[in-house]
Amino acid sequence: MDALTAVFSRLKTLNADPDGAVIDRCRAGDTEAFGLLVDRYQGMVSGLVARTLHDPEDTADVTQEIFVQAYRALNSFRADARFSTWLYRIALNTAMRHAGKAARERKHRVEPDPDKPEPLEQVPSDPQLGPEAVVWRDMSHEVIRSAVHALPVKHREVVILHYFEGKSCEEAAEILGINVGTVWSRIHYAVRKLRETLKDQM
Amino acid sequence: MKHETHNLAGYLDGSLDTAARLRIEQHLAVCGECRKELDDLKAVGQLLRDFAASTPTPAFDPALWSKVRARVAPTPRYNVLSRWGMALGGLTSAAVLVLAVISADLLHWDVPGDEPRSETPDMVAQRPVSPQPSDAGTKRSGSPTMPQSSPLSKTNTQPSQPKDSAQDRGRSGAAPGVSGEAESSSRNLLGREQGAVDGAVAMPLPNHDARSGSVSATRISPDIASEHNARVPAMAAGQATRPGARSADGPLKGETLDTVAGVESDPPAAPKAGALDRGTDVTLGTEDPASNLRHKEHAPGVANSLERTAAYGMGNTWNLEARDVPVSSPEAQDLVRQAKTAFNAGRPSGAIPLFRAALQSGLDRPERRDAFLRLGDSHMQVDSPQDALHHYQAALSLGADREVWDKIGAVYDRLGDRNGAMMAYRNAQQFGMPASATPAP
Repeated sequence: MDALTAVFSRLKTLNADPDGAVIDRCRAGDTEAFGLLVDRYQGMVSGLVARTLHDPEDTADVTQEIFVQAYRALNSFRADARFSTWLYRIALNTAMRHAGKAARERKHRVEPDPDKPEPLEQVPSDPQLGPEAVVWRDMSHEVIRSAVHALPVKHREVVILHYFEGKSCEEAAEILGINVGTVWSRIHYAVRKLRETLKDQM
Repeated sequence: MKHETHNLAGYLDGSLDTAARLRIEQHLAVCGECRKELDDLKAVGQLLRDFAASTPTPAFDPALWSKVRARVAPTPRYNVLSRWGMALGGLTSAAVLVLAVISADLLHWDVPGDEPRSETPDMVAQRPVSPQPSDAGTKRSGSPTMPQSSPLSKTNTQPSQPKDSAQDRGRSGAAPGVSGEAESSSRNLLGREQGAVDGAVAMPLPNHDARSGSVSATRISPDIASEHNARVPAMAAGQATRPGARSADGPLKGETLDTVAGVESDPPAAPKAGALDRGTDVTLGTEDPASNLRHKEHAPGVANSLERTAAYGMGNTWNLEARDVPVSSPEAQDLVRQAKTAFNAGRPSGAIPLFRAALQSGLDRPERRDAFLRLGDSHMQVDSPQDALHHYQAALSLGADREVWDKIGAVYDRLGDRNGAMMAYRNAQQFGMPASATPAP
């Protein structure tokens, strides 16, 4: 009976977090096992970073930084949580911190010299869109990104998780460690502010 | 009338329970303000989702783990523990040194002269027969008059000889006969893994410990050798981390508790000092006695190379993912074929995960060695010399030859480490000229 209970308990754990076995290996000193987690979750992490940052060129560096932080904090990971949830939290914090820092740097950037001609910007190619549509889309992206970044942190994080990452309110609540009712409320306030900023886009 | 604006996100998301959903629906039917809120929520939500969907997702980066690993190895837990280990090791070493001096003095007062009071047959059998019988022991103890047969000197001198004899190697010039004796003695002691490790300690051989250590190590079965291989960089780090080096450089990456727990002069841990030398030689493990003889000559080079690897930030991780099996699995062989095809087609970044998967799948010793070599080549191609070094060291641990030393030399060259490159090329030369450069008869 005890054995059966143990099996069920193990199955429950595995069901709860499919990464449990890999994390056990990492904790036992098998550093290479963490490579499996990096391969498994780099799409999730780099996607979140790309959607959170202003500058796509920073995506690779910030993604790398997130995994470095996760590796270093692995001992603090509790087995009663899902690894993906825990990693989301780290990714979100790191990406938002970096975005804030980049925004502050942009603010203090030296204004371009009006006497010097600005270098021509290359319009990125998109096989499905014409150059004008690409420019329009990028401008629109910039406005949305700026509007989201202007939100207070607690509102911004629910917007990123719920709308950008497609997480349900309950999943967002689990990642942020807050009540689901709080998520609904924060979404309400965030949308109210975004509605004002983005009314021209709608 | 109480508005439901705060719960509308839950209503749209479907995370409300049935009762709350019905309540909101009834409210929406009569409240224009909340209906307007709901429409805005939908419109803004759609805009944000469209934005997210049209943001390009970065391409998968197969080298991401390599980059992360280069920054994280070893783990912080390791660092903390190894710092404690260093502190403990240092304290223990100091305490042992004091004890050794006091004991030596006491013994010197009790028994004047250098000769032991009595010797058991075992001691006689173990007594060094070289021209400098007590050289190593006196160096370790710090007292030139320390009697060899004292309990302290017995435990302190004999296991510690491997380290000193590495320095003495040139002048002691162990005879082949002694080597053979060492080999047969060691073989008898290597019934199990621990026996293998303890072999030379249990039967210290006359002024020949480094060599006997290496011989016994070369007799360790590939399975055991493989397990030891995982520790080798740490062992090399241990060799590199004698107090002077450690204080200058701080804890070396890849070191384990074993290497920092004062193995250098702590009597109970002293056998591990012998293990250091054996550990180095385990990396050269082979079943071919002639090859062993040749490999033994390269032991110092291997130690240097591994030490350098540790200094380049490599952890003791390179062999952990590889499965050591007596016969390669067909899946693993297939993965190797695919990897080689990718490499030959000029796609080294595609070959890397395939080689890794093959190693994880399980390859026999020769194929594992070859896979590590090719994995190293792939990393060199993608301009990741540190990773390449990592894998060449793994290949080296499974057998040394000219090719692997040449490749290690090339990595050091790329890393701008001229001394490392020279060391590696010197080791390569000892395997003779490359086949292509051999003059025709």
